[in-house]
Amino acid sequence: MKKHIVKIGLTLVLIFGTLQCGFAQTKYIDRNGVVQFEASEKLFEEVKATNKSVSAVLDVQTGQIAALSLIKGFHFKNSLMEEHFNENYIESEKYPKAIFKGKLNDLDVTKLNQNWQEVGVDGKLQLHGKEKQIHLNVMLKMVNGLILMKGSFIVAPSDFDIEIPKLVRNKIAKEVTVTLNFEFTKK
Amino acid sequence: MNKKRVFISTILLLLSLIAVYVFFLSGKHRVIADEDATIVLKSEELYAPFKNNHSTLTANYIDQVAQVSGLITSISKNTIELDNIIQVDLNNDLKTNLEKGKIITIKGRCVGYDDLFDVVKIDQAIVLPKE
Repeated sequence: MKKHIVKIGLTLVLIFGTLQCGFAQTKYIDRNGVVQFEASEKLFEEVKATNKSVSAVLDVQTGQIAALSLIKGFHFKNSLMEEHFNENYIESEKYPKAIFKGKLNDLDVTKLNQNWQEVGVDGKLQLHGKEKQIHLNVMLKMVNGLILMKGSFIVAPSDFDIEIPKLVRNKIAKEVTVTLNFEFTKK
Repeated sequence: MNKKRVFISTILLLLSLIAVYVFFLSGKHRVIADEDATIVLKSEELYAPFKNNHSTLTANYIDQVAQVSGLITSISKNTIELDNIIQVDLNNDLKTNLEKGKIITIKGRCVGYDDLFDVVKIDQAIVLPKE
């Protein structure tokens, strides 16, 4: 009797397992995406941070893309700058993550090849309790079954109600360039 | 006598300035691998409070050096997953003796909860030797 239950259980697990795979076939993921932002001003110390552990999901069927980056995962060269960034500017304890949700326009995965192709992306970036509509163009290519994506866009701290104190205002650029680099593998 | 005093106090002042620079202003990073773990947990014990939104508990976990043990469920480059609920980014490239199905203990910095993949992330981690 016990054996039967185990068998039925296993079969169910197998069936659901395959079903789930069936649904997830069009999803590509990256657990170690790289997002970098830079707001350096000439003559001053560079204001630049990198997060090498950004999560991203791309559904090639629908073109939907989602990326999540934990704020505490951004690393600066200078630890003091990192501390100020977390505590005074972006308030990472209160707002621990940045999320982008959007859609690649007219993505046809069958047309992807080893050459970079440009695709437009529209979406929303949530950060510091605020949300902003973002449009950017990304470059895409398919290499050995991996989908590579790179791109960049510009935001302003004021878009997200992030206030820069007067004392350091001339050391931090008004425009922040965000670059992204993803390497998606099939789920 | 007076000159000597001025000389000594100048030296002392310089030394303290250097000390202030070294300790506060040089911008050196923490070395997680050299710090002692402040929380020692099994993977599930670290994950559960994040999953259940226990913010009073999780606030004490973030940025802490966590020692976590669990079963390796996936390995890629220098990232391993423990029990599918903890994502660990190792400091260095993988040692070859790690493989799926092994139980290991790691020490690293707790970064937070990622609700896209439903994992708690740990970075700057090292694999601790078996006791």
